[in-house]
Amino acid sequence: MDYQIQYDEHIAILELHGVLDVESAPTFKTALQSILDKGSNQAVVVDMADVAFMDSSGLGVLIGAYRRLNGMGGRIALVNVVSAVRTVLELTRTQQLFEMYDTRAEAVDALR
Amino acid sequence: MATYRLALTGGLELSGQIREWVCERARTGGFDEDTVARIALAVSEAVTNIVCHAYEGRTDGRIEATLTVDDAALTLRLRDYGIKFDPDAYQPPDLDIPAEGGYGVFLMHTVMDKVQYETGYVEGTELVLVKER
Repeated sequence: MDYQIQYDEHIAILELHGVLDVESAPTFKTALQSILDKGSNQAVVVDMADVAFMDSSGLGVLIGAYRRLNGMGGRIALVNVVSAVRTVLELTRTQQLFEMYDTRAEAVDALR
Repeated sequence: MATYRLALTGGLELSGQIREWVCERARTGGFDEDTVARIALAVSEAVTNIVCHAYEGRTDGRIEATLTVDDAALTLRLRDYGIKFDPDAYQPPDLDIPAEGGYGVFLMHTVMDKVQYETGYVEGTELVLVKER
């Protein structure tokens, strides 16, 4: 898995490429960590357009990021979530933790 | 009926390798993409648990996979030689309290029609996953 991080003012946009499983989860965690370490009141948009698969290892990283952001007044939004990834969120009832949008622009506007 | 066999030794990379191997054969066997995605999730969770728990994260764990695809179902048997899994000790997650882990076995049971552990071996466990058509 690889990733890119861009900033739109104070909003970090993390674009992921690949699958989110036990092998790639540490890379995903490192990416999120590098954003969260910048300080409080963070807003993060995770663009998952190129993530065709996620298992509970990837989900665990997302939940960890949510918890940390939630504890410091930040927000996290997911965009372009494909059906297979959405299914994992729904089965574990964790979809309610994340704001979800169809496009990156919608997410950035919502978090601005 | 088609039967396939695969034996691999390794670590975390086995999750993706066995997942892709099973999914390719599920598609060839006529399972639709939504069902293949659910099978992929179960296989990923199963192999992750074997590597992380049965083999405690070692990079030289052996997994033997036997996959049968017929008119009725897809059946995957995953044999390991690590620490035995104790199905009686399993506690399902509390879905009202989001956690960073503990969803693997729950997801397997949710997306597959049958999840069975055969623990009668002298060494290791055989996990049987079944997805009916």
